[in-house]
Order: sequence, then C-alpha cells, then structure tokens
Amino acid sequence: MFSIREHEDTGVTVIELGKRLTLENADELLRTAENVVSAIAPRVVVSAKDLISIDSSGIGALVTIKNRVLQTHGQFAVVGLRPDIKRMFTLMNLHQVIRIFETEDLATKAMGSRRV
Amino acid sequence: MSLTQHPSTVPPATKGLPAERANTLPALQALSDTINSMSDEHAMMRTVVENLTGILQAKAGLLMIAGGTIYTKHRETSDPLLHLEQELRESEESTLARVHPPQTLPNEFARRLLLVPILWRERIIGLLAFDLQRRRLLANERSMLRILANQLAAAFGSRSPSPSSAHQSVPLHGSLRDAACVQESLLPAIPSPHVCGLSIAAFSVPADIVGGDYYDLICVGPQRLGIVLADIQGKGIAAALFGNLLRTTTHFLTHETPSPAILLRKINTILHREAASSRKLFTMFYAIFDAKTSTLTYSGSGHAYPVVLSRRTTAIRRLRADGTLLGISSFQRFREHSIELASGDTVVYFTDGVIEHGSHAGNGFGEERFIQCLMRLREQEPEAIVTGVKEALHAFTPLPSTDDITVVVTKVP
Repeated sequence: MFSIREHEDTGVTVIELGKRLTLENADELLRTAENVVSAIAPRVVVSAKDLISIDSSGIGALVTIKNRVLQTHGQFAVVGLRPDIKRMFTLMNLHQVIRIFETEDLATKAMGSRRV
Repeated sequence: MSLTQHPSTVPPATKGLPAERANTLPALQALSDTINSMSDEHAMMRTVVENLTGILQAKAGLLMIAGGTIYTKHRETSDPLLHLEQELRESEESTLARVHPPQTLPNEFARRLLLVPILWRERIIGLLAFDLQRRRLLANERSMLRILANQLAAAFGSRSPSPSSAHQSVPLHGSLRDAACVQESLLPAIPSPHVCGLSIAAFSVPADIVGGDYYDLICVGPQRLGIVLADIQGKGIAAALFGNLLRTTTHFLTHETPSPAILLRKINTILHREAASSRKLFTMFYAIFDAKTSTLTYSGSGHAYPVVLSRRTTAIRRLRADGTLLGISSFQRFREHSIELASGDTVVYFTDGVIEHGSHAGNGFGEERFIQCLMRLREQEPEAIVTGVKEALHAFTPLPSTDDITVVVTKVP
C-alpha cells in the first residue's frame, strides 16, 4: 500500500512506500504518482522507511518518477532507506542519479524554500 | 466512547449558516458534481481530499480505499492524522473494523478526528478523516459529506475483476509457452564444457513462463570468449521481448567492439530510447576472457558483482564495476577493468534473483548466504557448483522465485 501526503506549508508531496516495491506493485506506484508528477515543478519525496524489498521493476518505477519530476523542473529525493537497500542503491550507482537523505526533514531542507 | 462522528446520526440542520461558513455547502455541492464527471480513480481521490480539506478548513484530511493508496493533505502537520495513517498502513483491516461499526479506538488521537466511513453494501471499504481542530460541522455539512462518501462508495465499491478475464487468458497462455520455447532455444548451448580454455556451466530459471534475464557466451575472436549477463526490469513477455532485442544488439556489436566498456556505452546509446519508452531499464555485465593471456577484461552497469573463487586462497574477490543502470540516460560512460586469472580460478556471474530468492516470504536468500554457499563449493567444477547453488536455493525455500534467476560459472582448468 502506498500513501501520498501533501504538505501545504513546505509544498512537498511525500509518497510513502509499503514493505515491498516490486513487479507486482511498481505500476500501481506509477499510476498513483501520475497526478503528483504532472504538476508544475513538483517537490516529491519518496519515503522508504517501511521498505524491506525492492526489485528492478521497483527501481525502474522510482527512476521513471524522478525523470518525470525533473522534466517539469521539479525536485525529487528518496529518504529513509534501510542500510541493505541503500547498499544496493550504491551498488547500482543510483545515488549518482537520485538524491538520497536520511529523513524527510533533511530532504525538505535540501530542496530549499518553496517557489512562489 | 464512539470515535466516529457519523454524519447520518447528527441532529437536523440549524436554520441559516454562520457568515464564515456561507460558502461551505455550495463548495461541497460543486465538489460532488466535479467527482461525478471524473473517471481516473487517483485523480478523483486526490481531488476529494485536497478540496475537502480546504473547504472544511481542516488542519489536514485523509482519504483511503481499502487495498489502495492513502491520500492525505496537510495544510498544517496533524499528528492525529499521521497516527491514523500509520495505523492504516500497518493494519488496514483491523483499523477500519474499529471505525465501522463504531468502536473505541485505543488511542487518544482518534478522538480529535472526524471519521466518515465509506460504506458499500453495509461493508466498510474506505475512510474519510479530517482534523478539524475540534471545530464541529453543521448538520447539512455532515449530510453533504455523507453524500460524497456514498459517491466514493459507488465509484470504488464495485471494483472487482471481471469473471470473463480468466477465460481470456487461456489462449494467451498457450502463446506464452511457445514464447518460452523460443526463448529457451535462444540461450547459448554449451556444446562442450570447455570453451576457449574455460570450463563452463550455467542455469537460468525465469520467474514467469518467459523471463527478463539474459546470458550469453559469444566467441569474439581466436581464444577470446565474451560472457554476457543482463537483468531486464520486470519479467514476463515484455522483459523477454526486450531481452531478445538486447541479445541481437549485443551479438551485432561484440564482433566490432573489442572493449567491454565501449560495448556497454554503444548498447546504451542504441537501446536507451527503447528502454525509456518501454520503462525497461537493465543491468548488464560484459567480460572478455582471453585464453592466451588468461586475462579477464570486464565492465558493468549496476549489475551484481561477480564472485571470483580461488584454489589458492579462501578469500573471495568481487569484480566491481561501477556503471549506472542502462537506459537511465542516453549519455553514460563505463570504466573497464582487468584481472589475471590463475589455473583453478572460478568466476561466478549471477543476477540478483539469486539474492532475492524467497524474499516474498520474509528475508531473501541473501548475499551472505550465497557467498557462504560458493565458499563451500569453491573446489568443485562448474557443473557441481551450479548444482550446489540450485540445491541451496531449493533448500532455502522450495517455493518458486518471484524474480528470474541466472547463474553462469566459468573456471580456468
């Protein structure tokens, strides 16, 4: 199950992942995120604090969302990765294409003040 | 104490609205008309929660449909709503069961929320929740909320798979089996256990009838063998079709490209557009073994690092290659590395399906267990190593894997 949390004060939309992001639900994440990424310059944080398993389809979904966000000059980050999943991201060099932070607060701060 | 403030049980509407609420009812009615004309479920949910939170001047609002996404809108951060969201994420069924019929929720936060169950045929299928900061709604506002909840129930309650869809899949299944035969025939036959001075064994098991793993052995010159392993995002027929496109491209390029790093760059340049449009990112590892010099030259792109086992030492080496996933961007560079292999050195190439095996039932087989398994088998010949890995995976869980699994083992005699 995913949840989408919009913070009006910071302008950040948080997409909270469940325990798994795999072939079975990667498309569902993309459909869920479609409305978020179609905004102008969205500020999107994906929270992976509950995530224990991700496969190549899940990674593909994250990269697709990130690409869509950047196309509209938005900002994208992933937060709360468990050490083993963070290690996998590093192995795949995803940390070079996706901004990774420990917490939502750090990601929000790094995104800077909200554009008007 | 009941934690739900059921709109249907409130007293009749008071005459006349307070000035600051004059626009609330027309706005709720307009929202009701808007969602009537919406067909996209996600857009509808987002529209409802965003608008209701604003119209009701709530601190925050939440909308969820069982088995789907939870949408929340925080005009200001609301701890009770965050708490409810967490409870729903952890135990959707039991949390909803406490909302309807109304029961006492064991947390203080729920008392501060307006909860509107979404009911379909007397069963709760979702929930609207708002942090009104203790503000109470008027009776007609509550009635309008009930109407909106009923609209959502009608939109989402009848979602169920069509009984005819199961029948439609039958003939497709036959075609998939044909595709599996074709895909299997495209995997490299290993006519002799000794190719270009290497002993070789391999196995590849798709999670579906056809798979998204691709491995190949290509003779790229006198005494030079190309070893390819790729893991395409997803599985099934779409991944398999992309795998065949990758196979053709790789075969075409290997003969004109002696460098693994340049080959990966060319493949990325050629297939980037197809990968991006079909959302088929892929990892790849390509190595060339030169039997004359016993040198392995390799490059990789986000692929699991192959393991080198040596007869001389118990220490293992990994063939680290630091490229990013292929298909992410049209312009990517890859580094190339070389190692010299001695007699008795074994290289085990694999896809991450090995590590992930059994993860749907908890923690997967895992890298540590895989390495320990290889250490036990390191003195063996490739065929025995492949058999040993298969047995270890089966012993871990006999259930079929949710990801494709491929292992290729080469050994310098």
